[in-house]
Amino acid sequence: MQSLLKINGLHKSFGNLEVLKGIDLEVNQGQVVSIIGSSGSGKTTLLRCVNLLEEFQAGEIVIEGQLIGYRDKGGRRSSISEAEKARQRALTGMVFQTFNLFPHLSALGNVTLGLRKVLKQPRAEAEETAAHWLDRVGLSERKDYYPSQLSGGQQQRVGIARALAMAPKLMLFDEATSALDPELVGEVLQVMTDLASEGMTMLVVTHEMSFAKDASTRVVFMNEGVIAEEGPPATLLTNPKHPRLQDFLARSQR
Amino acid sequence: MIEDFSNTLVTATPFLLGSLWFTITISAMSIVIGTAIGLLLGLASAYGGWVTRFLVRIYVDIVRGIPGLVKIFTVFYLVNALLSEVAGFTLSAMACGVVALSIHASAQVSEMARGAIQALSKGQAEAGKAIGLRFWQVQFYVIYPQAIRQILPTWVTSSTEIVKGTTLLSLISVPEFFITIRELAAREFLYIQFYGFAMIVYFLLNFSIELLGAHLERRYSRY
Repeated sequence: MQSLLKINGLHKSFGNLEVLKGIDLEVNQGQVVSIIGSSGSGKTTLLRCVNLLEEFQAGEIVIEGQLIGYRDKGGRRSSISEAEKARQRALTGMVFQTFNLFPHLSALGNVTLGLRKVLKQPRAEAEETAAHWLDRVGLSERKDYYPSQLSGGQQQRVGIARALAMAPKLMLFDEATSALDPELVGEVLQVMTDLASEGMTMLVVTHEMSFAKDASTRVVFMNEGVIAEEGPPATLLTNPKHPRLQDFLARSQR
Repeated sequence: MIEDFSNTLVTATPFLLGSLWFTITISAMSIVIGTAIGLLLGLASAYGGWVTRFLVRIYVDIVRGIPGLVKIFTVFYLVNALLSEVAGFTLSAMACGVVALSIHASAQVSEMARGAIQALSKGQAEAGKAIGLRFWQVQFYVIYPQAIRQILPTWVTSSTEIVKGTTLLSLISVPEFFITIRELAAREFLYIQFYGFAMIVYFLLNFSIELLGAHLERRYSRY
């Protein structure tokens, strides 16, 4: 199987606070990797580094053989241009915990913005592509609605369509269901599960143990800035070795 | 009396319309230029490093701390003296008026824009970046439309302030509406009538701006 994302020795600090203390992670084409762990363990920061929303101090992130965020100049790191970063960000699609839909644009407008301005599609083509993805998340009837007229679950599905429309190699989900009312979680998880079963490569930060267990190929447990344990969901979730993971699972089952 | 006034008004109509057009042009130019500069300054103080923020702060504080008339005289006398010394030319009275009023508007808009940009959640810019938009695209398509919607009501008020501010330009002999009114009033000894007339015209001008603002607000409040 082909490696799509490769993270080596990733270090990230906010001032004196070291949040990621050497992360190594590999995700192959078509794999769904769930990252679990208590808040403050660095899982969201890891995701944000992959999407270049955060800078990191050491280590490397490679997507499809391409070094992300920095250039390697004879062993020394140098930053890349804003334009280059923007291009690399488009390799990954990001779904945010708080949706972050553009409130001044309709559902369709949210999805077409990137298609038109980044991929330079003509309006008609962009609208067609966007309509396809909105249909894909079950919202074709809501395409002219503004975010404020949509429920949380619908907003998040627009967020997913917005990311998918850019044809990313890798989808990143940052606690995509955490801000939702319990009865709305299901519809978003359903879209994510469908995507996973269709072969989309996904890196998912989640508190939904059911998703981690049923939809992912591998589960990664992060603790205090390192990957403490990883493995197939069946083994890791039913037979945890790390004491902190045992603790975490016991607490999340309650 | 009334007949005197209406007769003068009729004969002076081309004259009045010409000067009213001057007032409108000066106002529109100052509002457009001031808003453009103000939006850039607001952006600079929302995103810039401390040096940029500090410089914008000083500019805004100085501009806001000086009365409009003093700004106009400063540009008309001081800046023109410097210009003729250094560049060998001077600005016309009208150009000075536009410069002074634009500076005034830019400081107001800068503060509004900074506040509105800072009030937007960081997530908006991040969502823009995440789909591959570049910095200016994020500003143009994501941040500005929301910030402008936010500042619209205050911006309309500032725009009417600029229209009112053009009356001060009569003091540097810009042939705008109010100077014409003053001349006619003095020439015909019809002070109450002409100043009353000016009151109505300025009110209608600013009221149309308010109406336009309300219309824009309704149009952009769909979300």
